[in-house]
Amino acid sequence: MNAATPSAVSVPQPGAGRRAWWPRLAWAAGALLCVVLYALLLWGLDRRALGVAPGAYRTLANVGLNAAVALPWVLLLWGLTRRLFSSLLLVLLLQAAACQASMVKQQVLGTPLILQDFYFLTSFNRASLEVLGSYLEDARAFALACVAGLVAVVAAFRIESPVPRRAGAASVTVLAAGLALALSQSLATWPWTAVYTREHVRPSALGPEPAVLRAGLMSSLVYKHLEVANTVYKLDEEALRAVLAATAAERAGGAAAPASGELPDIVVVLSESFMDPHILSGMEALGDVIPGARALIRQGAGGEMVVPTYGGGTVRTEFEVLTGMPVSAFPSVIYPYADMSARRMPGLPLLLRGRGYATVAIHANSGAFWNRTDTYKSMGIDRFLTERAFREGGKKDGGWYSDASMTDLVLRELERADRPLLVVAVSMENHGPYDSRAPVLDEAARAAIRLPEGLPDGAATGLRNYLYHLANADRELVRLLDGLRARGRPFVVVFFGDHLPALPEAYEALSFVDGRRAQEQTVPWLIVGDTGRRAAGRRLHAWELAAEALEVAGIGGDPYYDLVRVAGRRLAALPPGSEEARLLRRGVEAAAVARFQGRFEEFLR
Amino acid sequence: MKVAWRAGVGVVALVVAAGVAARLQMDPAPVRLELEPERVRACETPAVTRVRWDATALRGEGGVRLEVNNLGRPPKLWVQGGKRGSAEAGKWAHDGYTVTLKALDGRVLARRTLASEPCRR
Repeated sequence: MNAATPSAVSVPQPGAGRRAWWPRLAWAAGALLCVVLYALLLWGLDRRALGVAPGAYRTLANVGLNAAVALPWVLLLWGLTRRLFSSLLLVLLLQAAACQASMVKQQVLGTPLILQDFYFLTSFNRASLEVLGSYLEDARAFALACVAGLVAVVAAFRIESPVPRRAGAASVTVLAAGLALALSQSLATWPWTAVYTREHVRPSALGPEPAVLRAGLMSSLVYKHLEVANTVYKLDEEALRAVLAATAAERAGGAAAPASGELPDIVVVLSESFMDPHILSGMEALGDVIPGARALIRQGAGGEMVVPTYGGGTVRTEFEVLTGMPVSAFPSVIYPYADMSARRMPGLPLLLRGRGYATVAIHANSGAFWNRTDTYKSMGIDRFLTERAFREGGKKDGGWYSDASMTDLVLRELERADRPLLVVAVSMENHGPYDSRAPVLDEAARAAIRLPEGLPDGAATGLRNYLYHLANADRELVRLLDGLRARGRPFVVVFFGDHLPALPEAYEALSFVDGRRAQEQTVPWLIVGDTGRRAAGRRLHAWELAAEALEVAGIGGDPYYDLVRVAGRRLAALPPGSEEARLLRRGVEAAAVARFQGRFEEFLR
Repeated sequence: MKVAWRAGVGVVALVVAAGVAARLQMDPAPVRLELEPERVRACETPAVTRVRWDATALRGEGGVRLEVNNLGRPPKLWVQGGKRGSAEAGKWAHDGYTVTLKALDGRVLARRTLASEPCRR
């Protein structure tokens, strides 16, 4: 590489005979200093983003390896542009942006950036920009920083002289090395697997924070990439056989056929961040903003649901509900729609389509968000109405399209259907951030919301906004049920919250009635229909919901859902930590892996 | 001339980068903040910790405050008092437990974080 050293900051004349040694030395010293500064700057930004001391875990190995993650990209840029310093600057600015994003995510959701968050970069569009941009406290400062960064990079590339073309062989070597390292990093092979090891990164099963703390954000991201890329979903055949044997007698019963013989329309509503505010201390005394859902739960049509995410990550719950598979069956998967590509994703839509249903999904955001368009196709959803469908007649309430607009579309689709219909509706109105000052349709209703005394200003604003939209979601649930009853066709509505909203300040100030953390709270679920059957209003997991709904709808005959229903009910009756519960859970996870791999039926023979 | 100008820009850029790097790696103010222990075995957490601080080098009247948080949790006010002092915390510090010394106006003066080492059998 030394052959490529002449000319950079000082534009020396490398071919000038014996006089050329000092510029080369100056360049080499400058390059070395730059690399050291680059590693230290990145480490400093990393510690700042995590909110820990600059010296925390600052070792040569940690600082060096955290910086070395970008080595392939620096080499590639250097080889292509023949400018080392500008290449370093560009890569550093991109990493600084990642650190900043991690800091914002840490403040909003309590977790740092993870590998799967980079999925957004592969499907970046206006909708992604709107959702992610809404979390920026000062969008103007962010835009200015972007422009300043861009100007700095362009200026650097213009000021820095390229390595002369006569050093072409060295440039090709740099390029080849960069390419080889980039390829091996992308393919998750040696040398990366030898360096970014479990021992170095020290990850934790409890979350991504420990790995980021102990090895740096960049190292933790590469480690996760290596882990995900080298994971093979292992099927625990023993556990699967055991759970099938243990549930054989109960599964033989299956679900009864529809009472009227007519298949009901099924509407699945994922209500963004829908929770019961009464789980917060002091809220019960202030009235009820979800009277509709509460009345149905009291009638036995619903209960509490355990969801695999908090504050965000809607697709984790959505995946469990629509497929009946626990995310925990796939340990390396964070966002299933992005991490698990499959040409055919078994679940509720495919099952119902096989029984003669038409299938439609409705969501007031871009279809590219969370990779829904592709995943819905593989799930067997015929049509997907996205934000574009809302633009004709839809209204925004706050920052996003209203739940009322979504209900309008659901009812319109039902009216147009010429056969039984499955509608999967994913709401958007109550999506964060909740400190938004976006105007709402009913300012008086927002102002009238009562809050506990003594809440800090920020927490009060967030909670007030959230409760306003929550009340709208509840009202729309009631309107949807009224609309369905008026049609005179049998129906089943499945309604649930996907996770608790990210309101850490409010939780901190109020605390939860049961004394547990926000991450351990449950959300409401409902299955309401006019088929004459109902699910027992018990506590269940998101992956059990569709199995229960199928029974209420009178649609049986799917052995996987039969297993999930029987195992779920048995699990609910067992003490959570018991050995029997553990084995049952293990069996359900094994069944999910087999189902995903298309091998579940093999084990029924 | 052009060469000298470019070299000058390069040197200025390096000096600025070095300044920013140093600022990111050091305490923002000339204060003393000690966390004991600063390193524990992972299997020995949560740990009891002790903090000593000395911010008397800061100009002006008034005191300081100390905030604490475990990793991923919002900081909580722990101590508000004079510019010099010490305090002992209960057995609640996990890996990444951070103590932040702040001026009363909210300016961060220094931070210390508890680190852990793996427990080998």
